[in-house]
Amino acid sequence: MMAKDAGRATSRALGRLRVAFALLSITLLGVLAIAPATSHFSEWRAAQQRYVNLAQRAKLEPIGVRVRQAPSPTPDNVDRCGSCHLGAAGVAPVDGDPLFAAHPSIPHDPARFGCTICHGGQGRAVTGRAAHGGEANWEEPLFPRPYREAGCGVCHSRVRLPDPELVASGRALFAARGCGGCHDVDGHDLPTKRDLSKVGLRGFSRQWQDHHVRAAGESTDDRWAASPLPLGDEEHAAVDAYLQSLVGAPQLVAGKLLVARLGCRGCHRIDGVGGDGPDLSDIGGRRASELDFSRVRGEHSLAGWLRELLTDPSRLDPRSRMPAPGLAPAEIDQVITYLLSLRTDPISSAFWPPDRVRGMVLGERDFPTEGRPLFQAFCSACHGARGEGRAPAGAVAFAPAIGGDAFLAIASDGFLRETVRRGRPEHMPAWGASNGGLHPEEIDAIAAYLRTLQHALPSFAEVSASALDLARGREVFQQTCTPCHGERGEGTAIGPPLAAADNPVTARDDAIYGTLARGVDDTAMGSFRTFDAPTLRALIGAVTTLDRNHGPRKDWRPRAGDPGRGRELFGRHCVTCHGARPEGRKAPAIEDPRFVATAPDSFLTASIVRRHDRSREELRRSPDEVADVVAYLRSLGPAPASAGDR
Amino acid sequence: MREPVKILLRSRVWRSFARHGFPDSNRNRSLAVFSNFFLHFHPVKVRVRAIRFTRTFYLGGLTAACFFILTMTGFFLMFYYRPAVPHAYSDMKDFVYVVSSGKFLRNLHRWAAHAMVALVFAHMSWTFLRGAYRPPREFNWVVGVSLLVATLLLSYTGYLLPWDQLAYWAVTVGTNMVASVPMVGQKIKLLLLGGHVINDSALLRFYVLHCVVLPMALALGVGLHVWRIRKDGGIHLPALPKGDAPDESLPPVLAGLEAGHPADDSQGAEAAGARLGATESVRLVLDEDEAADVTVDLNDEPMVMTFPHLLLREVVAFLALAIVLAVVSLIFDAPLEAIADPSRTPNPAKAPWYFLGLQELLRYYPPVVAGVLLPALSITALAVIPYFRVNVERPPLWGAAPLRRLALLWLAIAAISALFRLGASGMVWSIVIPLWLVGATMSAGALPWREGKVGPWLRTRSLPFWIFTWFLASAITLTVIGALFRGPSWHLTVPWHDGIY
Repeated sequence: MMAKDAGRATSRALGRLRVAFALLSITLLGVLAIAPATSHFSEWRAAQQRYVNLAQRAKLEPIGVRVRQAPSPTPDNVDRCGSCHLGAAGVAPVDGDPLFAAHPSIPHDPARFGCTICHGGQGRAVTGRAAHGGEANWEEPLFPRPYREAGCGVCHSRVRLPDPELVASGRALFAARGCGGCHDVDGHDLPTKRDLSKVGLRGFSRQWQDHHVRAAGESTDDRWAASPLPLGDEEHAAVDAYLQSLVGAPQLVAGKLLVARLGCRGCHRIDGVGGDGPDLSDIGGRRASELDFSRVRGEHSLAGWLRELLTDPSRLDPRSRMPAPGLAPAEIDQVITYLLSLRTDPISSAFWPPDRVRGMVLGERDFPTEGRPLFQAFCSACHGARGEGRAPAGAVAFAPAIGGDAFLAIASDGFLRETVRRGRPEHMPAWGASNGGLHPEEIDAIAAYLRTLQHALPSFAEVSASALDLARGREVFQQTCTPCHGERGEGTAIGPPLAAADNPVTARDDAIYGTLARGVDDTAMGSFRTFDAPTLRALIGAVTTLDRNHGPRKDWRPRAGDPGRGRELFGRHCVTCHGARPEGRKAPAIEDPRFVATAPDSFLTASIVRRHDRSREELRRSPDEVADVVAYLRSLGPAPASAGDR
Repeated sequence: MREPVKILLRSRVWRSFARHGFPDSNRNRSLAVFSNFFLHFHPVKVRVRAIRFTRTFYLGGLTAACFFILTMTGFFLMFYYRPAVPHAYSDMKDFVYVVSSGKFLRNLHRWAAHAMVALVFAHMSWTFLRGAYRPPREFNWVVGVSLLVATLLLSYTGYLLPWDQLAYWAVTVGTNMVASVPMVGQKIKLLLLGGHVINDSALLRFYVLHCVVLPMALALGVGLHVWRIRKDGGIHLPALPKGDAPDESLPPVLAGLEAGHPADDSQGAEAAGARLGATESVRLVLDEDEAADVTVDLNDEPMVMTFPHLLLREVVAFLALAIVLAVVSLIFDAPLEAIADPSRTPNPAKAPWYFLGLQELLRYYPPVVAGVLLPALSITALAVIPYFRVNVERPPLWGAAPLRRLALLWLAIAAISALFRLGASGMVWSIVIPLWLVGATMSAGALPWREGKVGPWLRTRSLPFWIFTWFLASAITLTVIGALFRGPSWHLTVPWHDGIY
């Protein structure tokens, strides 16, 4: 190429380059201006400009337009929600935009506490979507409106609540007696009513009834005439329990009480106390990104997943053993509120409220430790609200009826305690301190409560006053006592002679009555409480008039059975119902060393004799055969360490 | 317009720092370049051929421009960022939400970093394929390879700084690969992390490396790299045949690829270098003739003044790059995942994209091989290739006895395929299929082509050319598979079905 040609070519190129330079420079300046402009024209600035305009119209002080932030005890440690939500940032509220309304009255100051600790969301963000937790990698979205109170529970979920039954009856009383005429419990801050919505937080005098009575006497106000007082002691306790539950978070409290009432902790463990099912102590901290939403019909969030689970557990996992709780939608919301608040480590321990410290550091209980509420919280889900037994759909086996006479008559207190403490293999979790987490005194309380479910005998006085019908008595004796004690009360392999001349018990009416009422420790003699007074009188009469002359002597001992014969007998008569799974479906699979290790011989004997439908021929076995079968079962495994005692 | 400007430029104030007049004469244009502290690494005149865009695509300059953008945005980021464990992540959030233009600056930093890594690979590949590594430029090639390593390290140390899940686990993967070096691996990992786990010490260490040590090393390296280009006489150009105009019939793209004039180097490489050096000597142009836009020098090589021809092109290229990066930064946000949580491992935990090829190799070979041996061998091979004077003379590959050579080629391919199968947990298709494709393309050169452009071009490519092409194709395949086709537990996924992990 000649220099001249090259020169012309390069000059043309130069011209084009100069144009390109000019255009690109302008473009770059334009592009670079976009970012600062976007930064400047931000959502929060627009919101604060709106506030300035509104404030001007309302003749209020203008505010500086800037990002506003408050410290927060969460790990994120700064909340900038106040940049848009000015009312909550301590700025004078104005009408015209819900964004600028004041924060509803709450026990905590948002300016000191921040917002995300109660509401969730991303504190450091200043755009609406990101701040409300809508960002892809932010796993703590705002609590949806129905579950707002889960935010309270994030710190306060370990608040101690009274017995749910008591609270429910207290609430019913409060409504029925018209206390709501003068008192507000919903936190509406009405000028005409006295607010009780947070009385559980503030504390209240237990003598409120006396104050009311006195005030009614001194006042001239007609409304006192409609006062619902006085209340009896029990009613007073119920209303006290209800008032104690009023802590300003009704949904959360309702959810926690529902969980206690339904007995969810019979399977689920919270804070180390509960059954062998999934641990819920941190269920509120589950990340939505780790959940499988393929079968969830509602929204794809943790709340939506929980809702699906609580509506129909088998839909999420067909192999789930969780029964459908059968809750109304509003109740499901309450339970979800409570569950969302269960976190193990939401904030640093420097900020923990007293109830959390008491629960998680000092080990105090956040549930009532009397027998009935304990039973309801931990046992009722499987055994029924009154111990009536249940065969939950999908459960491996049924949960026996332990609240009825049939069981309690033959189960000693010690046996009850031991069974609760050690559980049953594969069917019942162990509840001792190292498993279910119950203290010994709590297990004692449960056993004592069960004992109260047993039928009560008529008093001895009543029995003695009844007319004696010896024929009836002999008939009852024949049906009830001879299977163990022999046809004439002469004693058998399993039951001592009643007719012995030197038997101290059968000589006296009151001793017989006492034995029938309580049974005999460590033996197969359980209690017999289903008789009415005349029948008891008759039975006692029959026993005392037994022929005592040819009975065996005092040194009678129960005879140990023959395991070989027992095995044969078991195979022939028992295995169809009691055999190993899958046959052991109608009755517990007892041919199992682990089961046998939980039941003393006395219980086994009494069960065989008393717990079967005696009308069936093959189930009516002689005492020798019963002893053989018991011996066979015992040969499968050792006896439990501490035998029953009353 | 020119008159007021000229008056300004004659004022005492201006003349106190710019010691030349308005660059409207060749003399002033020369002075504008070599009396300027920032510009004087340019020569006063450049060859016309050298400044064409399609010669080098300005890749080296664009890489340096990326580095400049990164440094500038890096300064802004350093005003807010604290390299301590709870603060690092919070500061990233503050950038995105509260700092004015913080989101844009952070995005720009991230995309410029990715662009720099991609450009440095492109620059290296193109330089190789142009043959610009050949003597006397061997050492500059080695400097360039070290700059590549420095760039990768810069990107890697910067990757940890956001302290999110992506950062934490990517660095975990990388340091575990380093730890598999026999004997010294654990010590190197300890040195890198300042401890046994990734926590505050590692963050601070990476921060210092990223903001102080490596940028200084890179700046020094770039200075050396550019200085050597000057000393070697400017960028490598295919030699002009004597008396002929340069062959403009082939697009410079292909012409630049080791222009196939085998007999050209008869005078030896050093002499050629010296000759070119003479062309580029720093000779002031003393005539005041404005009209002489293109000068012709001793070797018939047309040249133009650096000011404005080269400088304008550089500025336009920089502007274009800046605009592209700025637009990308405005539209696409740099990722920021959840805060780093050592107790939660994402599945899959992927390394940064430029290491994904190695991570994909880990699927087939133990860490010592995939993470240490193969990368070390590759880098060493890259560095030493110019020292093998194997193909300085470039006889066509398929000259005599093509059948025998073909047989040898395919025997070698079979042996290499078997070698890669050895010790691997499966057939490494990502390496072997490119090998076969390259072998097939090589063999195509042996076919009896009619006269045209493709045949001779294929026939005269050198062996290092084909080997490098194979290396490049394998690296790209491995990276693409690792990036798009691997999901949880490193199982194969279909991106349009299962998404991209």
